[in-house]
Amino acid sequence: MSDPSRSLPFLLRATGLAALVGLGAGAAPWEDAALAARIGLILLLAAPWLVVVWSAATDPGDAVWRRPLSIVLLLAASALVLVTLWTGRD
Amino acid sequence: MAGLVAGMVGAALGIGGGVILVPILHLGFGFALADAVGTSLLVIVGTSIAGAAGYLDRDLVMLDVALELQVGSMLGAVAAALAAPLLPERVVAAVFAAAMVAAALTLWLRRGGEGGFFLPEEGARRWTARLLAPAGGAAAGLLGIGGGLVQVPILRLILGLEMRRSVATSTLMVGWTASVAGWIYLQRGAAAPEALPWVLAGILLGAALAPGLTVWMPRRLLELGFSAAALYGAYRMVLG
Repeated sequence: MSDPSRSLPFLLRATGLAALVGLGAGAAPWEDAALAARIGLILLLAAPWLVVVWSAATDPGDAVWRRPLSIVLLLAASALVLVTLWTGRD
Repeated sequence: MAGLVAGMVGAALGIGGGVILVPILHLGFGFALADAVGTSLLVIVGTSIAGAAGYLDRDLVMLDVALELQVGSMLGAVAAALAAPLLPERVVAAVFAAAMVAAALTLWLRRGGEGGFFLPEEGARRWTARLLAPAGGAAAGLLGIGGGLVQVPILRLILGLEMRRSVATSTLMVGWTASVAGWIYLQRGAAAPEALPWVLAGILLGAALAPGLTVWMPRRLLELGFSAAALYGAYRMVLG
């Protein structure tokens, strides 16, 4: 079985690339440009937090996740992504 | 073009792109300072993703340390991003000018070697780092610059991490901090997301070309050029 931590850099790069594609499509003159730009921005802002989510999901018994501050951070990040999804600017 | 220059010079000299990008966008492309800061923060998120992926590949990121400092860093970033519109632009410009001078000085101080200020006791180090972490976030939230000026010294000089681990951990932390502060600027309309793909592509291309730049241009000349440009930029920031 492969080490899940090896997949994280790939996931991060793929999300970053998808964000760049979305932002690029958002800058092009076509009818769904605003939607593409919004998706690109959401992916861009959410991507760094994948590290936190991935770490919590793949190694919940790790010492990092026994600290209340880590949980607070994860909740704050989740709230940020949700609020961005809800109120994202065109 | 702004992204290309920031990416190339930043990667060649090991300094964050924001300290180069914000003055170029503000002084060179006529962005309002708040718009330049907001755009820079979104760009920093992109460069952090690219950089952190590479450092995670090499197991250089200290996730436990990053998470420990990040709460303070995020609080500093949110407070500074919310306070920024209350401050006169001239005040923000003056603080940014000071940061540019500090970036130029840091280049020359680094030449002195790997010395550091290490507190003897582990607990004292951790608490000092926690107390200073909001300053790194505030620098991002107010000025749109990454962690090189504040977070790396905290990790390296206070916590005593190896330099490459300090840079790797700071690269990840900066992405978290900039995403929060950038989001606040974005909600306020003080960012130019339409410029992002071009600036980001320029930065990534510039970072890829940086090793070539250091081959045909001596590092000392690059440092001199950056220092002169930073001092001139600081002068223009303060006096307009």
